[in-house]
Amino acid sequence: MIPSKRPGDLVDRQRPWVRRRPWLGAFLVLMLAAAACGGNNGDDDDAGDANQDTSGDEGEPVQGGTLVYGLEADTANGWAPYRTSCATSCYIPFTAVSDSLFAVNDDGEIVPLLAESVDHNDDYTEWTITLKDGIKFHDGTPLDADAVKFNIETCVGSPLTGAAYASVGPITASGQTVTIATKNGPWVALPAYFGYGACGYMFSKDWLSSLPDVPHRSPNNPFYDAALAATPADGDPAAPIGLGAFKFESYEPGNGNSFRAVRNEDYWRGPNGITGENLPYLDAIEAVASVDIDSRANALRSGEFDIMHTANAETIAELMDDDSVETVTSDRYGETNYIMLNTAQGTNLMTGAQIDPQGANADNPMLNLHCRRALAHGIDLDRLAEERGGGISTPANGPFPPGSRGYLEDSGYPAYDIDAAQAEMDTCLSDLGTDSISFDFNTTNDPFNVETNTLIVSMWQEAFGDEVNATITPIEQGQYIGIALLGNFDVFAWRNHGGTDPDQQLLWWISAASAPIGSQALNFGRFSDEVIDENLITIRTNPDEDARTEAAENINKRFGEEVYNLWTSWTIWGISSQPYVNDQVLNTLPDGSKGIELAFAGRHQLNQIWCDNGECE
Amino acid sequence: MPRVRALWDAVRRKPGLTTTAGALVVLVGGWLVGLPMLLSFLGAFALVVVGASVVNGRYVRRRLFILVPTIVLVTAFTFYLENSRGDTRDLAFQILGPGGTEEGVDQIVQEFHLDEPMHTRYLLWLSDAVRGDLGRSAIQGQPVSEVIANAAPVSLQLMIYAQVLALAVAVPMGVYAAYKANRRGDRIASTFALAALSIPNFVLAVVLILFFALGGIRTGDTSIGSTWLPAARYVPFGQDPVEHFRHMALPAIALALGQAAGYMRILRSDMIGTLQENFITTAKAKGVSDRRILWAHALRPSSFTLLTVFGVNTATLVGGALIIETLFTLPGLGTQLGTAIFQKDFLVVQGIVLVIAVGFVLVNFLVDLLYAVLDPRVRHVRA
Amino acid sequence: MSGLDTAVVSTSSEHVTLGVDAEAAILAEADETYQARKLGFWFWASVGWLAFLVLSAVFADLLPLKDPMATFRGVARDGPSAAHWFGADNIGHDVFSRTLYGARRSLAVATVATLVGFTVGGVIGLVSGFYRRTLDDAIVAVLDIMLAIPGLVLALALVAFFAPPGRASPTSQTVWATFALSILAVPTIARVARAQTMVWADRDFVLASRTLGTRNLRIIVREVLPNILPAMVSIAFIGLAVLIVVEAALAFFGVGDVSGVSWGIMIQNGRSQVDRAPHMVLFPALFMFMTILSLNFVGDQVRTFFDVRESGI
Repeated sequence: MIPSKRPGDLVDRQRPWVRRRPWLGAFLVLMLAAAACGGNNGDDDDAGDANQDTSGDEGEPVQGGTLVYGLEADTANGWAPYRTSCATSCYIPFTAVSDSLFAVNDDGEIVPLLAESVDHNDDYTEWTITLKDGIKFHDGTPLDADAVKFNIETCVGSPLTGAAYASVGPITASGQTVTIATKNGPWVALPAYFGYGACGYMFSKDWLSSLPDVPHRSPNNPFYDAALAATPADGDPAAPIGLGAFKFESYEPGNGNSFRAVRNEDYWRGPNGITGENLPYLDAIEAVASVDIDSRANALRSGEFDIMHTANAETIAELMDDDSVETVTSDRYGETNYIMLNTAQGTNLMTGAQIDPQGANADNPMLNLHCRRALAHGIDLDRLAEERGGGISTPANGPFPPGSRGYLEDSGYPAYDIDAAQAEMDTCLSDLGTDSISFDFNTTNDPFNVETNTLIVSMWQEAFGDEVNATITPIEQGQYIGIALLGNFDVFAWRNHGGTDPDQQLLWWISAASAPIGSQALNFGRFSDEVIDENLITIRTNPDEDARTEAAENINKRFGEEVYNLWTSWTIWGISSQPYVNDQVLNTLPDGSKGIELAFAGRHQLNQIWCDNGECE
Repeated sequence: MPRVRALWDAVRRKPGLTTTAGALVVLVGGWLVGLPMLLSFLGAFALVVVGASVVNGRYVRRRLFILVPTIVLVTAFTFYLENSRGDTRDLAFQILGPGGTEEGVDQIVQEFHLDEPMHTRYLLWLSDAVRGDLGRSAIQGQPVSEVIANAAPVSLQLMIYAQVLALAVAVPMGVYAAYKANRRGDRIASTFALAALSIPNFVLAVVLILFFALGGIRTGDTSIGSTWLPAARYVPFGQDPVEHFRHMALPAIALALGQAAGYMRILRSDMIGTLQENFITTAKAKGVSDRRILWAHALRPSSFTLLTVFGVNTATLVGGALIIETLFTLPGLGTQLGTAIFQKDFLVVQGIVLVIAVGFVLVNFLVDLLYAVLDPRVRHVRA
Repeated sequence: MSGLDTAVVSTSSEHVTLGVDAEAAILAEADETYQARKLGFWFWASVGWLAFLVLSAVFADLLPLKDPMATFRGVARDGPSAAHWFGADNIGHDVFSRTLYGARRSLAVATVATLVGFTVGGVIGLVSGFYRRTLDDAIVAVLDIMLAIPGLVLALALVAFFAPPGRASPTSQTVWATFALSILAVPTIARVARAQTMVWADRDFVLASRTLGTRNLRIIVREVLPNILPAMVSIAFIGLAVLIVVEAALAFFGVGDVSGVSWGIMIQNGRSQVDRAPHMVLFPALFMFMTILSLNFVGDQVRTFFDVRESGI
């Protein structure tokens, strides 16, 4: 119950956007010329991985052992993609019991995994996915086009995940071939949305259709199927039936309780499978929610947990220093910690509606560009990274970390500069006709984040003295999302925007997503910017890779100019394990090529882990 | 016939004792036979009430009378406070996350009656609760009764171990301190107790973890401490008794130390008073050994305050020790309650508060009865 | 005792004690030695500590302390040094200055809550114990209800209800946190007052007053109240100690104003570094410990000073 203490300010469970990790069509990338535009090639070691040390794997994998994994949070609402609030902690059980249609290789490219191949028509309004033959779910039913169609429909029709899939049109299934048509025109990065995110994981149609709240049972839902609705709804949402390396065994929700899955002897990549591999090596996996970071780290050190994850940079740094455990870290395609500024005002460029009809935000000094720039100039990001980021986190200058499309070494975002800060503040104050500005700075309730943001406030005090009165206002977890969604804030700490494809950020940044204050809007800060809108549409519809990269960089530069958000750092995730655990993040794809290891905010494969002597202790 | 008659006489003569014994029989027997716990619980409780009312009917009836209103008021108060914070749609946003659709939000608002006036919502909850339906956790999807059934044993075990430990330490020390009143033995014991009482238990927990699970403080090459006991997690007794106790050791100690200190002081204080009574002097004059005086004669009349405080503490701990459970990652009622409060999972909060209130009231009630049964003189004066 | 995990230790003062050495021969002589041994060195040491704490908290602004909210570069987590006597915390605050300033919040909140609880609880207990019958039953029932609500639920709900974040200033959050704490304190103080009142109100001299026709209020104020004060003051000291801990525990959960300075916040922030940089937890915990110890001790001595064993009179 202690809200999580990570440099970003949001508990994982509340961020289902994490599952919408985009992919690039393999062939799209192949059409690219050698991509060196500002180092967006994922192999750039300096920019990308902080520490990809997977040493500790000695010799040949040995079968056996139960791995106990300490998670940072419990997951709400069971284990079905369409209804589970899936954040990093949810992906461990997901990855244990199932696999996704596509995988990401080490270059950041999308490659088929459950799919055999993927194709599209000329204008990207129709996509065809051909599945591999011979893959079965844990209940014996086959992975066929019908099953995939059903899976996708649950995600499209669900109130939880539907918003991201609003552009998915009619789906047809025949044999092993699924065809998806788009609504609203070309969708260049569509495969990405069914790749790495929760909705890319495939589950048994029999199981899904037996769940009581599956969209197909709901009369008002476009996917309503009366025949199915008549069948008994006795499925257990907390007992997933996937096709992965491990079969679900048991689950007890709540902090301290665990999710257990045991080896699937008929795994499609196993000895009885279709790829000629011998996975998995472990006998079982037990995932335990341990919310308090200190408790989790202590449990790892004392051997209660064999392996754990965290995004708390301080703890990661400590664990890296600790010789009794092994730590792998990465911020590849990861998220950005930032501070949102509420710039709601005027008219929405796309919808024409008033963004702040009641003037709730009218007194917010953040409406003034110079005030925003002043605050940005006033934060010493290096000191922040040093003191709060364990010395290992990277100061951010934009929403795209190194290795991601759109990253720029110089994005034009205001760097730490006291003189420039003062100059901007002077302009800001004279514009507003006042001699000081005040605002509330919202943060989650947990002490680590409060401390981090207190440091930021004290930096502003150092730079501006009495001219800036920022009041730290901690908000409990239960109200945090609501306040952001409804726009009831001045300044708000947040974390978001990970993934391989910037198309994934469209939902957060486009003007159409700026509903008036008091209504739900995904563009929390409610900015309505035509440059950003234009470039987002390019990213969505233009297949030319160079054009897309340029568009992403334009967006980055625009953020740098307008300072809608104060970027602080790129989130680093760490996987720490006892020495007897090997190949913790190894991801060799079925064709032998190297898959991406630790990325996308702490996610990695489990099916290739093994313990010394077949015993995890 | 004469046996039955003899039995009935025994019951009439010592109603308290026989009904308590009967209650225990019902509890144990019910568990062995496999009766639903609720049933055997109610049976045992009924027996105890009957026994006590024979001893002092009016008192019992008065206390019984306020049981139900107490529970209703506690739950109503909590409900109101818990649900008047923030936006009515907060729970929906929690469940769906920022990506939720408006229809989805409306659906959840309807499902949980979030937009209805507070009293309506409370009455809806109450009418369900009375029928045994505590609803489902909005966040976890699990029935609340299941959440409680899984979490309660952990908290109860922690409570029992801590209380037993506390008494095991406090009673001998208290007796000893009273025996050596104001002399050196007492002064040392009392100082220790006062010091132990002054350490907040969360600080103590942090220190215990440091020294017994993490290997202590390292200066250069030397370190004072060990890694003998685990720092976190819970192992059910049925799964592995040894591990179970190893995992519960540090939490129980962290909880028990402060309590033991408190109990010891109370017992000592009362006992010093008792030791100056005439009947003690008489016993001493008769040549009864000191040890027998302390344990067989003086202890019982000195234990009333201790019993009162012990009872109140036990009653409070029924609801789980929130901080200890969090620090040691024990999945007990305290953790569940705390999590639910912060996530605004109000049905879980209500369910747990209901259980806590019922537990609290019942334990207090039983302590009262025990009091009245133990010593009829103090029946009316319990504070 | 965390106060959130266990109930306040209520010493029901029906059973009072006299710390007299039982081997003293004559009552008068015993009295004399008793008086002479009364307030020993440790008592005054405790009082001294409390006085020091209160004074430094009140006059902290006048002392040459560093700004408790200022973060100093490059010293984060450093141990005690010449520049920072107690070292620095996670983000470079001066621990010494924060410990002294932190006393303010901890003491202020706990003291105000205790005073309020003392007054309100005292009145309730007096009335309940004096008038008995139905009024007493009703009041006891209400007190029981208040005790039955889990501490954290009550505190959190009250603070969040009256001072919701984003709509209330940190000061008002602290005020409502104080209010919540006093609500936690009232039942226990009321019960003690009630118990004491019941004992004293049965005495002959009260009966005598009644016979003389004195009004109830006068009896309560002039006969009963002075006699129950010692026990209540003693409980108040102990309650103060408990509330200091409860306030720290609330900071632990981020209830109330988490951005200010208080011992609880300092301990919670320093907790993760306790093996690497123990000074961050050590000093506030030490101060807290000594304060609680002193309060407990003073409360004890006060009670021992004033309470007289029944059968000795």
